[in-house]
Order: sequence, then structure tokens, then C-alpha cells
Amino acid sequence: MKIFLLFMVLVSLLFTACTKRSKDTKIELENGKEMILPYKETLRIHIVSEPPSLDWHKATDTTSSLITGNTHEGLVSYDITKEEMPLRPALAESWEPNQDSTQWIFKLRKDVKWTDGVAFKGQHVLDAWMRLLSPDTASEYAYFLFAIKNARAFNEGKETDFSKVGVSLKDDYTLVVNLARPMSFFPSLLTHSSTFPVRLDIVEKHGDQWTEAKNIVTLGAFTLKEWKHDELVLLERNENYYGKKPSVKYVLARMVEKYSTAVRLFDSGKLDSVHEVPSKDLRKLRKKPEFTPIQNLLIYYYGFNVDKPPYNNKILRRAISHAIDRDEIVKLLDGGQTALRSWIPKGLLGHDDSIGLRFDLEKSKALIKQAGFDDGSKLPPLVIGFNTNEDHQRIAENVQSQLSRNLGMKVELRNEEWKVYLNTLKSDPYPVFRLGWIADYPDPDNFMNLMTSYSENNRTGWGNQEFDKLIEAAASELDESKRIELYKKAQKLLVEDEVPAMPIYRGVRNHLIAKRIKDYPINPLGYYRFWEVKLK
Amino acid sequence: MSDTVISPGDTIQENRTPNSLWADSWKRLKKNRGSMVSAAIILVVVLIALLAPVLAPYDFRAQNIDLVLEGPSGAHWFGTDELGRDLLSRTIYGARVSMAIAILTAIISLIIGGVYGAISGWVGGWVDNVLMRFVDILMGVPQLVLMILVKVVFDTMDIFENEELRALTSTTLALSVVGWVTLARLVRGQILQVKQMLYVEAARALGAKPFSALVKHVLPNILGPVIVMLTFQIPSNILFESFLSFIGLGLRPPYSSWGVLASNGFDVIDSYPHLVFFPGLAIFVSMLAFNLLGDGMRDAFDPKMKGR
Repeated sequence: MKIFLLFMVLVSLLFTACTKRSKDTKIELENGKEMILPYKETLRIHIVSEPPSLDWHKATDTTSSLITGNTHEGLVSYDITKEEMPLRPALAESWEPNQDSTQWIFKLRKDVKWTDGVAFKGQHVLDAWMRLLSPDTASEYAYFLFAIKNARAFNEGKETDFSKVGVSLKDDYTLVVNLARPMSFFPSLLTHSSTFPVRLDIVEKHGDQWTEAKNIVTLGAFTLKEWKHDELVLLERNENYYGKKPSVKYVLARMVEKYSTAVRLFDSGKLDSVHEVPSKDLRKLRKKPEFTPIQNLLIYYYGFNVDKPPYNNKILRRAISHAIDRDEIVKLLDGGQTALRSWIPKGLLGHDDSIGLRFDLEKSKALIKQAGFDDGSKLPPLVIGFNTNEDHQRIAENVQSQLSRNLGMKVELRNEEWKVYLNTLKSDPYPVFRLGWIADYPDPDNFMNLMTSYSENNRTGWGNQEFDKLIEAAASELDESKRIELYKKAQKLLVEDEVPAMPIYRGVRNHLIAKRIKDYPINPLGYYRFWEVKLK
Repeated sequence: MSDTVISPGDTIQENRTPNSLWADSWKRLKKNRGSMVSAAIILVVVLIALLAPVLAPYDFRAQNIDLVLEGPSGAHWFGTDELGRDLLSRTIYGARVSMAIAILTAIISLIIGGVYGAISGWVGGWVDNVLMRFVDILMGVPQLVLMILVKVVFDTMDIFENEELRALTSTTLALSVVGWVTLARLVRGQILQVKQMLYVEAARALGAKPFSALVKHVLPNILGPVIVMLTFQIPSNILFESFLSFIGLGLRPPYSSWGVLASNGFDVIDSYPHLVFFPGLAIFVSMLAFNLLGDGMRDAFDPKMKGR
């Protein structure tokens, strides 16, 4: 037996010795050919899933925007080398508002070329905004530009002539934007991928296939070299980029649904960064030198589908929100999150900890009675949906246990893969569903705007005229203290009275970043742009 | 004519009653110690599954946030999981699901596959042709796709109020839809082989009706391979169930089976090996027991292996 064991050890040693390879990454491309990515020139990152859409007018999620944000650019972007992330010129060299910030004039760069060699012009921005706002595109992010004059009417089909929308070209490189109301932070909207320019000729030529690597035309610091579905995305440095060229030649994004698998790949040196680690393994991972946490402008919430009885009754929604102890969830995760009851997270104007429904079982039970049910056990089984992931499941199981322990409710859990899940939320959301929202730009408007009746990113089906008005008034209010008051009122309406959604916590991203990487873009916006990354 | 005549030269001639095959087999099986131990283990596991509410020290759903991911201790023999639930209780309850699904699936596959294969093989001709082409078609469809399809269809039918029961039946049915096909093929093949044996012809010649010839002479002679196939199916059913649960189509939390427990624990095997060790041990021991018992039963049922 001992000899046998010894033999096994020797054999396994031999095996590992033989399989010791160079650190370069070999990948197989869509066309079956192999490609070798040199270790010293390739940043290997982790993405959780297949990007649901690389059409930036249709994408709504962080995975897609990570890819688009590196291959493409808008008029404005953030300076990621500074901690406070000020705006910096991108496709627009400069911009100027009028006195009350209702008109903005953008001067565009003249030296920019698309990846197919065509020169960038203002018309491409106009085309893009028309496509974003067009009802045919059905973009979830259309509401982003609703501050522009007549944009909403155009999106709702009430205005069919795009020239009536408040955006025009003075000449090929001067864009004039007229807003319906003052907006001091308008340029920061233009950092978002949904406002990036587009080549309509390419979209028309290839139809649905235009986002495939062989068809897509962009103008960012990287190009989309390969998109092997459900496996990897490969970006290559754009040698014709107008700005400072990135120092890494390739960015390889591997799709790994499970955080724990990603961590294992990181440990074995096959990934250079992991943007999220499994909460249940934190005790060990926290001790790693590569562990890098960052407080994000991210809220994690449970939304109600307010069209589905019995949760079309706001009293019942309030009852459920009262019965979930956020502190227990945060304690369970133990990853630096903070319990959240209000809607605007800490770090943004208008955040107020006193807003929101506290954990209060007496109140919850009373509300259930008021809604016409004897107690929680008499409620029909509640279905909670989440996208397949160990952490979301952990939270969902805890909420399930809390509701059954606290109220005697029956709760069923359903999970789906991210892309499928987003589609479900679009067509027929679960009675209760989990979602997160990370700031597109660091302004409370981004969080509040999300829940307006015309925001397609609002999956709850809830809409409230009063709320919409408050949000619009707050966005155009230039006096800070008045703005805070408006957001206070709106938040109370949202999370205390109507409760179409229950905030759970403010998020943290726990990264693992390999030692060989310098200047990895870690910031509260999750704005992963690999322009500055250097490899050792 | 009496069949108890002792012919000269035979000192010990066994008593040939119609039941003798079973009695013989039992006698032979009893001598096989490994099989008997395995049978005892399976019996214990089945008892644990049946008595789960009595045996489990805690509610398998009860979460204790202060005791998350603790290793084995006096209070929690198997430790606790990522939600502070007692792993011992969850493993005990997991036995219910794993055993129920594995055994029920095997029985359903045996009944459907056995009858189907027997008709096909025994009747032969165009009936055989038609039945077997259908099986070929089913075989051509990837097993997983078929399983997921059946599962999704059954899930939408909401037959039972109880969620655990619903998941259990739909998973069992999904696995059976795949499982019976291989059994049908096996049974047919065996019958084709055995029905040409001289003793079957002799029985038919002596006036045995086709059905009684099938039941009395053919079926007992094909039991061996069928039982071996079944003992392979039971452990693979345990694994398939855990796979379905893993992709979100099997049991839903907080219900759990061994497969689910093990695959959840596998995520953090470096940090918390107890999460995968105990459910894994349960799977390992019961799979081994089924395999050993199956081996023993094959030997016991094989009339050619008398001398063992």
C-alpha cells in the first residue's frame, strides 16, 4: 500500500512537471483559430456573465457597460486618475452653458476617427440621440435625455419630427443642446454609454448583428477584437485612438458566473482581477494582500411588481418592508455593506438616514390586518426572483427565512441567469425581485430619476405623478438646500408611503487585484476604464 | 410426475419449487458479507430519511446569524452553513430527498422500461420495430435537454400545493423520462437472447402459454443485468438531481438534498471543508452501498454462479 501511495505521488509530480507552461494565455477564437496573448501585455479580468447587449442604446447593466466603456467614448468622461473623479473632455473639447444652464454648447474634436477610418462628426451624436430617443429603439435609458426640449414627447411618439427636439448642429463640430429646464449637471449625463455617438450606416447594414466583433465600429481606446459568446471578450489597443494610448495591449474578459470559481482562477494566476468575491469566503479572502475593498455608490434593493395582487396594495408593501431586518442581512454578509432604508446612498446630496421604514414587527402585523389578512400565513405564497449567484441566493434565503419567521409567510425563490433574468424583468417581473443600482453619474438625480414613471429602468410598474414632479423640480433646482428638501419629500413618498421598492443596503465592492497591476481603476462608480493600467 | 425424485448419484438435490430461484438467491446473497453490510447501510439511510423530523437536532431551516460557517462542534456535530443552519439536520433532511428521488426514479424507470422492453422483445416483429425506433429517437435527444424540458413542463402544472412535494415529483418524473429508455433497451436485448434458449422452447413445447413462459422462465433469467443497471442508476440519479438543483431547476431553497449541499459547499472547499465533507461522505457511502449490494444481487441471481 505504501509503495502504491509513493508511486501515486511520483506520478502526480511528474504530471505537474510536464504541464508547467508559460504564463501566456492561449485562447481559441470564434473561427476555431488559436491566439496567444503575451502575459506581459494582457490584462485578464473577470466578468460575471455574457454582456447582455453591446448595443449601448439597449444595454442597462454593468457588464455590458464595462465593455462598451472601454471600446467607445462619449462627449465627456471622468478623470479616473483623481480621487474625486472630475469631468474631463473626451469627444467634446469644451462645453459652455448659458446663464441659467438651459442651453449647452459643445465644441467637438476634429481629429477623431472611427475604427473603420471614417472621421467622427457631430451628426453621429445627433444620430445616436435620435436612436436613443426613438420609440422604435425602445431603449430603457431614453429617459436619460428627457431634460432636452421635446425629447420626452419624441420618445412617447407625440412628436415625430426630430428637428423639433432641442438638439442641433451649428456646424459639423458644434453641438447645441436646448434643455426644457435648467440642469447644472447635464454634461455628466454624457459620460454614460447610452449617450455615446453611433454610426447608423453600420447599424442598418448589419441589423441585429452589428454588435458582433467583426461588425461593430467604435472609437474608444480599445477595439472589440473578439466576442466569443458565453466564454470571453477580447479587447485590443486601438492604435488610431486620438488620445493617450493605453499601455496594455490586450484586455481579456473571461465570463465566470460563480464568484468562487473566479477567485480560484485568480489564485491560480489565470485572472488579474476579480471585481466581486463571494461573501461567504470573506473571512479568508480579507487576509490576502490583493484584497481591495471600495465603498460604491451602489444600492441593493428588492422591488415589487406593483401590478400583481396582493402587492398592488401599498399597505401590504409597507408591511413587508417593515418586516425585513436590514441589519441582519448586513451582519450576515459581513463585507462592509451598510444597511439602507432611504433611497439615496450615503456620499450623495440628499442622503438622510432618518428616512425609511424601520424594522418593526408590530407595525408590520397591524398593516397586514389593515390590508384585510388575519396574519402573514394567510397571504398567498410570495415569489422572490434573483439572478443566479451565490450571494444573491444567500440574501434571498435570509429574506425568505425572516419573512417566514417574523410573519409566518410562505416564500418561494426563483433564479435565472443574468441575461434571461433581465428579460423576465422587462416582460413580466416577479412579484418581488432583487436588483442593484450603481450610479451612472455621482448625483442623487441618477437614483431618484430611476423610479420615475417614465424611466424604463423602473421595473416595478409603479408610477406617481407627484413623485415625477418632485424629481424634475429637484433636478432643475440650482439652490442646494431647496434641492435637498425636494429629495427628502420624494424619498419619503418612495420608501415610506408608496414603497414600490425596499432598499436593503449600500454596497461595497471587494476586489482582488493582482500585485503585478498598477493603477487599476477602482472607484465608487464602478467605472472600470483600463486606460491607465500598467502591467509588471 | 413428481419433481422430488432423487436420482442416483445426487446426494444433495435442491427442492425445485416455483419459488426456488428467489429462495436460492436469498441464500446466496446472505453469504455475501459485503452485500449484507451494504443492505444494512441502505436500510439505515432509508430509516434516517423516514425519521428525519425525529432525528434532526434542529429545524433544517432555522438560521442563526451569530453562528455562520462554524466548524463541527458539540452543539453542531457537522458544523453550520453560510446562513448559520445546522448541517447535520440539513444532511438528515437531505437524505429524504436524495433517497426518495433516487429510488422512486429507479422504480418508475423499471416499471415503464421493463414493460416496454418486454413487450418489444417478446412480441417482436413490426411491434418491436416501431417501439424501438421510438426509443432510438428519445436516445437521440440529448438527455439534459429532455430532462429540463420535462421538468419545466411539469413545474408549470402546479399539481401539488406543497413546494417540496412538487419539486420532488417533477424531478422524479424528469429523471424517469430519461431513465426508462436505457432500461427498455436492456430488457429487450436480454429477452431476445433468452427467448431463444432451449429451456424456453422446452417450456413452450410443453404447453406453457406465452405469458407464463415470459414470467416464469424468461424474466427471472434477465433479472441479473437489470438489477446491475438499476444499481448504477440509483447513484447517478442522486447526481442528476443535484445537477438539476444546481442550475436552478431542482429543489428550491431552503429545501435541500445531498447533491445541493455538496455543490454549495464546494464553492468554499478550501476555507470550510466540512460543508462538502459530510454531505459528500453521505453520497459516497450510500452510492458504494448500492453498488456493492447490486454486485451481490447480480451474483446471487445468476443461476450459473451456483458454486460461490
